Amino acid sequence: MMHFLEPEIIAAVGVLATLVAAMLASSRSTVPYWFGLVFSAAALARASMLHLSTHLYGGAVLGDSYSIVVTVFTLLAVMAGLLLAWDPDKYGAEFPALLQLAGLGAMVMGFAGNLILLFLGLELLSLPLYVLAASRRTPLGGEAGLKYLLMGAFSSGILLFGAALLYGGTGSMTFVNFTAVHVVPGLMAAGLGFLLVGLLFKLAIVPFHMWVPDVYEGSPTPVAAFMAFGTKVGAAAALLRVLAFGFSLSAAWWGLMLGYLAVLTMIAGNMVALPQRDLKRLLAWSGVGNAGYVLVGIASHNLLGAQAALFYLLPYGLAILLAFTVVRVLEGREESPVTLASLKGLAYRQPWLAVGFLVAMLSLAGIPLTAGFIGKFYLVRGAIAADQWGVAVGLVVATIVGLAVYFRPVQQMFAPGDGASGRFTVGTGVVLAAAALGTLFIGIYPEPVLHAVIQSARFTWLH
Amino acid sequence: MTLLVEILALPLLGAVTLGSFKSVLPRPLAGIWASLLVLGAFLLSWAAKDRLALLPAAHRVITGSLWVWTQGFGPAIHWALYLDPMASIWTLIITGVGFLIHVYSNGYMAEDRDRARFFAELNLFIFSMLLLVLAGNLLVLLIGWALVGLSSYLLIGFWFGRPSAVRAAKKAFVVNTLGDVGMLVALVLLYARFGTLSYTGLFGALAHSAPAPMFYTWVALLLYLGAMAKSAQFPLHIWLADAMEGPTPVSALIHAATMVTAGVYLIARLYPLLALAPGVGEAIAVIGAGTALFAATVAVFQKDIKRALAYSTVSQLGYMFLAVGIGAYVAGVFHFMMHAFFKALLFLAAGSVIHALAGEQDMGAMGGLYRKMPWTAAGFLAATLAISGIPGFSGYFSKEAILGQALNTGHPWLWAVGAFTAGLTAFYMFRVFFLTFLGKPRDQHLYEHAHEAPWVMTGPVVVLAVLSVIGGYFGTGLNTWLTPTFTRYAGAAHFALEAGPVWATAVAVGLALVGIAGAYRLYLVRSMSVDSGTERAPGRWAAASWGSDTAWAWTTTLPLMALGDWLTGVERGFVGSLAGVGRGVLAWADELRPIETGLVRRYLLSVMVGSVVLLAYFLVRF
Repeated sequence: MMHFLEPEIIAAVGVLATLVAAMLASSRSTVPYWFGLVFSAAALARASMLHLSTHLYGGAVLGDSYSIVVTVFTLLAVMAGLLLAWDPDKYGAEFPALLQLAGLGAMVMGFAGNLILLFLGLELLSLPLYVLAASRRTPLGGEAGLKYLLMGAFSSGILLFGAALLYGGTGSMTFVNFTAVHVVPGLMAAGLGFLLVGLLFKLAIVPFHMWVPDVYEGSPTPVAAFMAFGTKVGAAAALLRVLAFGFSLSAAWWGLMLGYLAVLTMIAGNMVALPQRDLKRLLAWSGVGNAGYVLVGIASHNLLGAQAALFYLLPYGLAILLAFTVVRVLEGREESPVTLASLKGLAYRQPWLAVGFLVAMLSLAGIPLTAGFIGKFYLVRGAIAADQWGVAVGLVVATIVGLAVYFRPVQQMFAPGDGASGRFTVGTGVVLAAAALGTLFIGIYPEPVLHAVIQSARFTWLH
Repeated sequence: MTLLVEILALPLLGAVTLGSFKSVLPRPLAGIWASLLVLGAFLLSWAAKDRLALLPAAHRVITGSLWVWTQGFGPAIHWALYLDPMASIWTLIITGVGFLIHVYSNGYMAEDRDRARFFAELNLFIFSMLLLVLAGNLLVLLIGWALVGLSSYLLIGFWFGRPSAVRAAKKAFVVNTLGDVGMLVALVLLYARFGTLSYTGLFGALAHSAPAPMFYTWVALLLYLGAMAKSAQFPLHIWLADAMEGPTPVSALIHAATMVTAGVYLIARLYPLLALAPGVGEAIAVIGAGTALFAATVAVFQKDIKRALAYSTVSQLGYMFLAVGIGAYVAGVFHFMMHAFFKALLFLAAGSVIHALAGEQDMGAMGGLYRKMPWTAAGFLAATLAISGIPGFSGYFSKEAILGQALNTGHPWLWAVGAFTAGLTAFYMFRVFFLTFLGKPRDQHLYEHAHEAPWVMTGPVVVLAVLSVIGGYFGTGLNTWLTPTFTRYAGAAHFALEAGPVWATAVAVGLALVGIAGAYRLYLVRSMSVDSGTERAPGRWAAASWGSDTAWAWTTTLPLMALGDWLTGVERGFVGSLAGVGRGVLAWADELRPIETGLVRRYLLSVMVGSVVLLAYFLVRF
């Protein structure tokens, strides 16, 4: 019954095939990119056809509709990253294989049912990203890669320690066994604490978020786009899974803790995003704030919240991809930094690009008729159902600050002035159109997507 | 279900394709494409009608849900469609008359640079109107309702270079929005009470619901507010005359034949609700009769041919509301159908005249045109006879049905107002006819250059003329056809067509003949000028529609503007204080930035602090 792993197998074969293609083809060839795109698309197509629920290896591999949703989200991020980076001269022949490998890591985190697989997925996700983050041959690029590596290693160490304590406390690696009666409570609490640190670091929750702006700013834009969506999908999926499967009995106390962190993250992320002048840093801080929104759903430790958290990843991901696409178009081949000032007059110079950016900002700000509104609506419902009124209020306050964050660039776009302009490629055009239409579609007619995602997060033992 | 989707899809396809490719399409193609799509929709509507006829009379409804729009706010809301005999009448008129007007527009708009945009918006209107009519619940109806308002706004302001057109479009939109708000509130009330907005669910619930007179009265009144705005009932009639700023085919299609009758459709559709709020029905009938008389008096003194026709539309809509208000639903639908024929015809013929006279709309510059434009004149005469209620022509049958039923249901005063208005109608319509087509040409220069319209324009005129003459004989068929709609739920006791007493018919027709004779004497024999009678008081007031615009300005617009001016000051202060808060937040955020030092050891410190706090929390909570 390896049926349900087929998308992941296709993706894994795709990594290898892309690697071989990169070895054979000349360094300026787009063949590896095509390989990556075709295999990702094939895996996506296979994943969208699956309806299975199987637990393999004593609960170590959990193939269910939840893991399929994670796989779909990740593959979307991978394909968007590939399309944005469709320039072998600049990003090199290894780029597609590394990006796919990172994506595979996020997928593993989606179906991981025990600590070993969780760690494996986390490292599979992180290691290629360390390389990719450093792939710009500028001081900023090197700084980004090194910082990411150092901090990633540090947090992985903490996570591993937490995993060891959990194993010590329960004698098992599998999540579902953590709820068993013969556990050592002290070890469990410490183990969960350290495990959370590692995962919250990847999700960029305050105070484990400090790496985000520097790394996003220094990484190539397609990599930053993938990190903003793919990494968060992997981390949030694993976090939700481990808490729902392993710690549903102690939900009341980790829920409260995560609720505090969510409020802190939402407020701090949006507050610090406010004065940013560099667009990539602004998006990085927005990513921090949005991670806080996702955490609201997880913290509310009920069915509604889990569903809302999983669903919110999609509106957020589409909007952030859209925004990074605009950055990619505007920075051009020279990768000159895009600041708020370089947006001046964009609405008149490149109206279609401006429309795309506008949709992204409206969705991130949570304006109705965009996907972001639907996502936030369900998050608030989850928080209220959990009786976490403070968290709900925090979300609303953060959204108000967020309005200012996202309308400042929009205002610049309509201000007169001479800013940057850039040329569309086929890849950026496709991502822009798909993400913008997707955002509006979900905003206007959420039912089909919402239904598919919500059905897959039926962790009925969360109440 | 299948046919309904396709009926909707064709005009939508036209709107999308024309809107997207308007700059690359070869110029004549846009109109042909748009017309063909509406013709397709008409044929499909016909097929849907046939399919409906195959069903047993008691189950003559095609309905279903396309998809669930949303759930999570309570009971699920569906995208539901619904076709019953009444809706099928409306679809046939919308697509049939719509097709004729599309064809006509090919000629009328031939020289306009923006004709592709015109046809895109015209197709959008057809789609919206069909959505309104085919809706299966009140929310979809409201979406169609609002889209109809939007396309009407776009088309009134089609020549957006003219400030008057922009102002008229804005006025129409604002007045219509007033009605939309009423409907929205009514929808919320109904949803909160019954948990559904679908016709089947709602009417089923109404059939055996506990009596709550105030609730039903309020809901019906709010819904009537929407109907009032859309169908230009007094006092919300003020936008329709200004809407004549749009191209004449638009006036024919939207502001005469179809859109303005949406209110009639709504009220007839909601007859089970009206049955629970009888007072509202009476009010609708009284306001309808009042509107009919009021608008007829205004029409008598108009100089502009299109404005005269616009007030005549308001007056005829008053008749339709009189009918649905007293429960004579079939008579109302019948009059809607006849009115669609003859009023579209009047506008199209007037459009041909305006076209021939290089845009001149003042009847003071017309006269004697029948020699130059025999087809148009004949068509206009047929429609004028029909609207005046001359026996044998279509308007006679439907108007007599309404007036007769007013007597039968015990509303002699409403009958009297209606009969008097019928005489007035004959007077003002023949006034328009005589001034335009007969007599001596008053502007020799314009007259010399006038010419009969091309065949694409006269063709639809002739077809509509035939329908205006023979349309009245559809009455019996219509009565049988609509019976399933009004027997499905309780509440429509006197829906069927009824004949009134013979003396009443004689009086109404006699008054009409007197009106014609009066118009003949004044405007042909004594050759009175077009603005005679407007110098002195009653005529001057009537020409300015009895000051209703001024009344609105004094009672609503000016106080609101004063309030707005005052609120601007309040808002400045409020925003000023908000901006202060904003500046404070911004300054605070700036203060936070130095935390981000760029030093890895500081970052790691933050992670450590976080871990320690997390652990401490867990250990304390334990």
